[in-house]
Amino acid sequence: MLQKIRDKATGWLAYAIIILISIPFALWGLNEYFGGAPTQVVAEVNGVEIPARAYQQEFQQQRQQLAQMFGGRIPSGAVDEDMMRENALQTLIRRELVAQMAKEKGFRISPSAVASEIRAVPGFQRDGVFDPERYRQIMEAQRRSPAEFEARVAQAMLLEQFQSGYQRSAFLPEAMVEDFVRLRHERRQVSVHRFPAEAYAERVQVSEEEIAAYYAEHGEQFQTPERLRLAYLLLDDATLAEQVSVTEADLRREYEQRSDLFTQPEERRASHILIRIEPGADADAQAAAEARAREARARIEAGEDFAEVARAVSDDPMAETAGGDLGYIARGDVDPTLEGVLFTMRVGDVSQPVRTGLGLQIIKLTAIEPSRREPFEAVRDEVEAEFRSRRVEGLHIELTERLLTESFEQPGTLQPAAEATGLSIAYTDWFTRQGAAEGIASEPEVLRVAFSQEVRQGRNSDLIDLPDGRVVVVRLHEYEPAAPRPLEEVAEEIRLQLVWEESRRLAEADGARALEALQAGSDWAQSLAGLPGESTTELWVTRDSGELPGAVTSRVFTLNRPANDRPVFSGLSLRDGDYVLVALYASEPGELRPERMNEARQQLANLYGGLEFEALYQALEARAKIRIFRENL
Amino acid sequence: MSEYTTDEEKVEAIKKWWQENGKAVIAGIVLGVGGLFGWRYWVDLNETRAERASDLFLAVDRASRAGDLEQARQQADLLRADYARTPYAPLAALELARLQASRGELDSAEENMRWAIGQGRSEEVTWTARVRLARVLVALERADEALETVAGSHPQGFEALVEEVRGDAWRAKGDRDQARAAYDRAIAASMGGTEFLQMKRDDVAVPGA
Repeated sequence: MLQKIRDKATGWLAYAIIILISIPFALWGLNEYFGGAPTQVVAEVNGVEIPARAYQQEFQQQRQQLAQMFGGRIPSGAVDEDMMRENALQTLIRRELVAQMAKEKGFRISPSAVASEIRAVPGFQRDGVFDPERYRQIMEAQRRSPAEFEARVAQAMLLEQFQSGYQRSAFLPEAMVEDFVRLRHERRQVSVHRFPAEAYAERVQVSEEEIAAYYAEHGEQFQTPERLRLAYLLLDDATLAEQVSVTEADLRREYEQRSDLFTQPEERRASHILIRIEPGADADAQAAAEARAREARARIEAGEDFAEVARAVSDDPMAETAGGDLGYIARGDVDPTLEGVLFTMRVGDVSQPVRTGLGLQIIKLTAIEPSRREPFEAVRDEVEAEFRSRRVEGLHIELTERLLTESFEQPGTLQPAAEATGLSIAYTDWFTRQGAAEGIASEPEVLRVAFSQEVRQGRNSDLIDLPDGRVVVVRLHEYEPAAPRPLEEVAEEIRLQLVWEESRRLAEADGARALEALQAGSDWAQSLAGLPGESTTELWVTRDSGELPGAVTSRVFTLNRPANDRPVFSGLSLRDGDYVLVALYASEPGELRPERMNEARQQLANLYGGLEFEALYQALEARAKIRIFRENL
Repeated sequence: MSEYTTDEEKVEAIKKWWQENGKAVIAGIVLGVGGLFGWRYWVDLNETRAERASDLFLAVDRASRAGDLEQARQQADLLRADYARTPYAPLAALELARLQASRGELDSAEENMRWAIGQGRSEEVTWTARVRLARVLVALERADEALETVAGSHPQGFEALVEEVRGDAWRAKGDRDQARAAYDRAIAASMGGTEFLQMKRDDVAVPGA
């Protein structure tokens, strides 16, 4: 049967079939049929997958930014790792979603807009003009194709246009800005009286029974924290350095091997005559310069003093005073062509004119300072320091290796690791989760490990790298769990607590009575006569004046404004237990000063622009299909 | 289906079928391929249009940021006339409204925002414009119209903005209770930056509370 198909499948029928088969390839391309290997995916946004690789990159980047904010290293415990992961994921999802929205809404960036954006990047410019060569070089250096880079620029511009298009057109009408300034800079006139809880403390009596009852009810608040002692092996370069023994022969060998470190290179002293040629000078100017150079050389040849000729001819302004002297020059200090000539001359020689970046130079070698090796005795200390630091480095690597192996293979004891490394086991004092004031128990890295499950179950810890380069392995030495403290020990704490609570109630009661009197119409002094505490009267305050406690200021500005000359009264308890009585007499709207208006206008436009875009984003997000694969995070 | 006894008969049948349907099949293929290429052409055309609109919008934006109202308006008019179906036309209208409002020309700003609302093809953009228009109407002491502008159901995410401007309208009308209720709803739904909102809310607090 197949043979028959082959026999018949010639002529127009075969062509028709081939054409039919090839249509899909022509239209959709091959890549649709050969998807790459399946990649790990952390999320799917409307069917678009976010690969784990992109997530890892974003996470690392956010981490680095955070580390920079902390000055290079994130203090342990300062940031919740899980929250950082979540943050990175949300950033990616949001970016993808915004990109999709922008596309779907019909936002596009034209190739010419991308081009002018790239042309405006100072890094791609030479003398303020876009330089295609430089652009190409930078792309090559970064191993990027221009097409890929341009696509990324277009994408960034698209997001920018979509987001800031809506955001930047936000504004509040002037009347609302005025409203804001009037409210924000409002002034209010108040009298304030503070009843200190402390003043009531001596009146308060607390009985033993009350203390016992409180202890029975809140006993769990009074506990000694769990604490422990660690045994540890500490690898410290400072101690290693002392252990390294050094013989004279070692130092001699080191001196020979690293002789480049202790050798002053040869230097040559030269004078020169410069005939300057401006960059881009034409052929005539160059010929003229060459003629001048030849003439100068001829004069020296004829016996004239080099310094004299330099003063007369050289375009180097220094020639006037120094006679063209350039001082001592080592290899690598000057133009390579000049160097080549200089280091092949004999003392007293005068060179032919040499073409360099400055123009034409004629040089005379005036002296040679030969390369000089510092004698061993002069650099002995340096050699020793160099030798020791290398030995310590090697020792550090070797001992770390042994420490790791032994403490891992024998997790129930530090003894073999101690023997293998020659370190002795040390012990910390007792410490809690708060850590110790000094020693290794004050290091956050150690603290985190010390209270970990692994260590508390009696196993050796992993190697812990401390920020200063020391390495330590710890294990549990002694442990004491959290325990309730006996009543006798905490009775005084409870008594203070109860006294405070009662004092606070008394202050509040006095305050409330005074408030009632004020509201009934009696005047300030009369209502407060004989009560503890101090008054501040008829004070003008603004929302951010610091004269009153924050809670009081905020109460002052949430009160209704007084009407018909009738003051408004109010009272509140502060966190420290004091009670504050407030009388509000008058208010004045904030003045519409130009600088306030300008600031408010800008601030409000930014704020509402941001809020409006957020609203827009949420509306779109509500319709999106987002799936997160946490197992791949 | 009937059984054919030999391959020759099968070939005969296929040839016969082709004579009857061949033209239709070829016509179908031509139509299909033509349609595909036509569709691609149409997509390309739209892409190009969108890119041109994008460039025009960039020009509006530049002019507007430079404070050149005349230039901004000309470019925005072009967008409005020829590219009204791209998202750039309403966006340009909103940017123009901002510039006009900053010069106190609230009436022109209103007109532009109303056009953006009428034109907007997605409700998120329409509601952004509605909220902004309502604020302008409150400032123009037309609080009732402001309330009308933001009446009806709004997309998710707009709760705080809508309730805030409703509060503004009620406060402007002197109805402290309605204003306070609206501000409270706005604060509950807010996504941050509530200082102004809170001050306005305190401004209409219940007396004596």
